[in-house]
Amino acid sequence: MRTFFSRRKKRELQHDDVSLQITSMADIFTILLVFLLKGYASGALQITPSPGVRIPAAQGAAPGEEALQVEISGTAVQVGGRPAAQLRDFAPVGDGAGLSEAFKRERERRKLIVKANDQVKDDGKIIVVADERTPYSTVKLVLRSAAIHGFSDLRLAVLKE
Amino acid sequence: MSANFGNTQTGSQEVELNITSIVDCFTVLITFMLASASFLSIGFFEAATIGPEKENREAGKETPPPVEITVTLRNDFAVLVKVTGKASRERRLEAASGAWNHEALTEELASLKKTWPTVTSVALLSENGVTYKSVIEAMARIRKQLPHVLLGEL
Repeated sequence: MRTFFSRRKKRELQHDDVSLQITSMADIFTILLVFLLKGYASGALQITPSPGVRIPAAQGAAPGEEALQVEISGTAVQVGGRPAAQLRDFAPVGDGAGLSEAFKRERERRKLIVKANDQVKDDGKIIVVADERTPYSTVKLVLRSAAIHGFSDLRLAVLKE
Repeated sequence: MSANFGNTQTGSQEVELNITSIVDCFTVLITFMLASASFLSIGFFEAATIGPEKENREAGKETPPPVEITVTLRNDFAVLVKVTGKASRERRLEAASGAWNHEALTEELASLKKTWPTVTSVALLSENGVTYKSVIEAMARIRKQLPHVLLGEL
């Protein structure tokens, strides 16, 4: 009798399928996905500073709009995502010719876009994403170069407090 | 996960829904979203540079402001508030405990705003050694009284 029952139990154990309960995991993933999709869709303007760039924090900042991005870090000034001038410890290296060329190129590009599309305005806006440790002399240099090429409407990026 | 279709008495079928592939898709999507998501809340301060274009635009406006206010940030954390135009005045706000005296700046600008309510812009100048962070902090205080800030050079 004992042998019969142990053999039966062994057969039952062999035939039983073990199923994983992943219903709750699917629920969690659905909620996470909805949350992330909402955040992904609502952020029309994506500002991703380079690693090591510390943006200053301030109160009273307003939402922004799409414009040419200029980033000032400790090692470089990037215009439209491309390095335009080299910096060493936030101080400019060289005469800034590369910076002027970069703004000139962007200005020409902007003019072409405005010419091709009536809905786009030539407003001279730029978004400045600068590290909080940058001395004003460097910021001034970048802004001067931008202003010479018609980019005088500034949007200074800050972390909302 | 299973579902019953039809009346149990007449004969029903239990259908097993296989959600493993859905969970796989969700895992990949969530990984991608988390990698590309930015959790920084970034805002913007509007400003303009003082230059010939701006001056021409200003010249085209109906009435020029009665006074022009200039705020200068010094390397020694002192702030110089200068008024030119219909009134002429200059006030130096000394540093408070080795840091910027933002309260004094706010009070001074509030007093100027009270005296000249039609003035909405201020020129913000800084010496070369002043950090960008200090400029932004000063702008944040200035904008509460005078919303239009023009960044200029000394």
